[in-house]
Amino acid sequence: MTVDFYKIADDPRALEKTLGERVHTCNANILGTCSVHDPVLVLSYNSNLITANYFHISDWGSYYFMGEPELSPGGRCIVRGTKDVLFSNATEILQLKAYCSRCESKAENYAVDSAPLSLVTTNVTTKQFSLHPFAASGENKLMYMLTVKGGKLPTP
Amino acid sequence: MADTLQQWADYIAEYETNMVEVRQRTETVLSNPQSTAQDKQNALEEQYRQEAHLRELKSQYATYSVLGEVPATVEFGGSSTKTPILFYKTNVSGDNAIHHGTVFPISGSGDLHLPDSEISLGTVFTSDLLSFSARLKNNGYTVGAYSDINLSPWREEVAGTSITWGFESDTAMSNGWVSTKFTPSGYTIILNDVSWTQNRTICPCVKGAYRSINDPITINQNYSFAAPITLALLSEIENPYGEVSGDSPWDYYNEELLPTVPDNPAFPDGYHPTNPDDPPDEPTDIPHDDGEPPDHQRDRAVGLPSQFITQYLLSYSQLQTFGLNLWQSWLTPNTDVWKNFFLPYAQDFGTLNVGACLDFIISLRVYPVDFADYLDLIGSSNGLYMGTGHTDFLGSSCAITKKLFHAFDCGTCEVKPEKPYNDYRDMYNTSVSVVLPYCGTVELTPSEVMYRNLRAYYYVDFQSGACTAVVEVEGDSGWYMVASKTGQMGFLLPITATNAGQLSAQFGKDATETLGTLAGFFFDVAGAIGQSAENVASILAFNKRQTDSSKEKDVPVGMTVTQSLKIGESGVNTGLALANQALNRLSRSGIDMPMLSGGGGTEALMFPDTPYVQIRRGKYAKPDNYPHSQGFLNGSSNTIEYYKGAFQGTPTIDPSYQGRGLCKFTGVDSTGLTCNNDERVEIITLLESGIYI
Repeated sequence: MTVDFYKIADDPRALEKTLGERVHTCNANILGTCSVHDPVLVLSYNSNLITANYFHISDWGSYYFMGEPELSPGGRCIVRGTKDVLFSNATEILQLKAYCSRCESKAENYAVDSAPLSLVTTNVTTKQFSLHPFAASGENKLMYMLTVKGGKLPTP
Repeated sequence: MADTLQQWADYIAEYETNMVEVRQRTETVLSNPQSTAQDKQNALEEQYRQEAHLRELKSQYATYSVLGEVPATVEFGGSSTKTPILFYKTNVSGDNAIHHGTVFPISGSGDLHLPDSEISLGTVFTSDLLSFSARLKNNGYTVGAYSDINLSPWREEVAGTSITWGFESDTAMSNGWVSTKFTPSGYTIILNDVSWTQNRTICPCVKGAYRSINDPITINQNYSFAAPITLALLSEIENPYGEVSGDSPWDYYNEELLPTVPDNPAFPDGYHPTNPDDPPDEPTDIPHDDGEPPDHQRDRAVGLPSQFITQYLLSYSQLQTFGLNLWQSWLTPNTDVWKNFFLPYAQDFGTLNVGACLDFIISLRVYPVDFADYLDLIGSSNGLYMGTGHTDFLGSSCAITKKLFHAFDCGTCEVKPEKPYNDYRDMYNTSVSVVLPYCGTVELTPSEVMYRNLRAYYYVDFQSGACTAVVEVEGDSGWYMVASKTGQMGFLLPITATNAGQLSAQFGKDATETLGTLAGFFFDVAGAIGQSAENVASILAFNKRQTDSSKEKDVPVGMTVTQSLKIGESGVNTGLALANQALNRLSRSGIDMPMLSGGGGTEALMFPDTPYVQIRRGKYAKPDNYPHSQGFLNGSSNTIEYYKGAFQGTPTIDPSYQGRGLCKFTGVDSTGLTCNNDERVEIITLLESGIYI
């Protein structure tokens, strides 16, 4: 089967990888018994394989993270891979429905997220009430109130 | 009520625009996982109220658009033009009769048909079609009238040049007939969106006719109508019966099966279901809106001045006069005050008692602010009375307060600071307090007051000097109180007999000695104003009597007299200075200075004289790569593709960034994945731990 080798720089957690330039293409055989998820391939040595870290098996329609190649006598090279389930199923994954707990592009602004905060300082804002009945100026700014028993009201 | 139909239309259009926002707001609240059940209910209630009001507006507009002026005639357009037709209603006086035909074209290229002469063009008649039927000629148009609602026919049959519109159940239709029972009164008949693709024949009824007249008229495409054809409501009218099939509500009505809908507070005018099979949009269990709490009785007159108690407002100069006269005149023999006030009231079982006179003074308080302009005053020309005695202490002019209690409005305060972050940090770790002069500081609940209006009132009791500050917040349904605090605004000047007793206790002397001290103080003042030796002798005699009656310690009157003589003509001010010394001494000794009430103590005098709000908020820093490494909280549900993308503004710190954004998911529905189960589990695990998309 035909295997295409790439050198990628994407984070493994990226759903869709940027493959860039293909560094090598060759035919490969399966070494012994292996799974589709973690295949072990035997192929002819090529120096470009040393720089590759990702490969695609078109027959299986899957992408694989590539482990360190092992060189064996006779000019052969053994390559171990682990299936990239994200990129291999990217189209379907994008259509799944899920509850998003954290997201970089869309934020719920008023959900309290205390994790990233570091308090720098405290700001104080003051707001006055609009009327000032106690700020009225008067004689000595004092008022004297005499309360007595009895008394006589002015005659109407 | 709007004056013109255009104003009605504009208002409704504006209202509908606002309704879009209301609906969006409700949607936001409902979809926000942070919303409480109460928030959601409030949002729904608000929307229902607005919707109900909008319906009411439209209903009124429909009525007024018919009753109002007829701005223009409308011509039938060309082929395939949909033009609404307004059928005016009829009066019925006999079985199976229609009295007035519909108001139909007034001009046109064909026949001219006017309604009966009793009808003025443009006039709307109320129908009274109870139990009556009406019919237009076969192959003509059938009209009907309905209670409460203006509606389209639920059935339209076109056969050749004939169109039949059905208004009730099939059984009510018979060869173009329509039963018009259940039409109490007052409703218009409106048919809308009639497809007028060719000339039609129509048979208006005439008064008293059992059926329509036999002369059909032809409505050509160029006819004009007297009535306003373009009613805005027409496009809103929905067929309450739904599709053709099914029973109509009138069938239920006939069988008395029409359900009774309980009163709904959202519909004060009653709720009228249009179709029993179509439940109302509004829930019927909307709780009553309690609205604004009861108003504070800010203008209530408490303790109106009377012969039991009177309160005088003194200026500073009047205070000086009062002090001088108080200690001079009534102790001066043979003066009017001596005879009219002191002697009658000081008689205490045969002896003269200064305290009995001083007891007439309930309090003399000093307020650190002068808000005399706010008080309701009565000008008095009678001078100062104590008991029933005229003291002449204040001369002839003084002011009496109408109320012994007053409310001061401090206005409002918008607790609406800027939003520096425009996210949760604007209210995170926020504290809000209101500083209330003379009362202290009260912490408020930020979520209750932030981005709302506050208002504050002070209630001051002038007799006790106590004050209570009340703070209210403007909630969704009105103002309600969020804080109140009591403090002390007026403090006491210790001039009464009670204070004399306290003074005695403070100095470890008995009351008699204290009285003597006070009397000496009085003489100081008397001497200061140049009292005659005779009067001094009289006073000495008085003090001697006091001493004799006490039978205890010598009254230090000698010291007092000496002091008074020393003062000589040094003037009134010196006497007042001595008075001030005495007052200061009392102040320093802590006698009767009730100023301690949670920040309402004497230190409260240093508070600002205006209440204000303090908002303390944190200023936060976020790591630059936070969105890319952790992601923002989201809390919504959608397809994974929906969350694709990176945060704009985050510096690229990862070569694999490439516009991808971090996302973490829970509750992944793996429907649609065609991989094997091991991979399915692996994918879900990866989605939960976070991927870049």
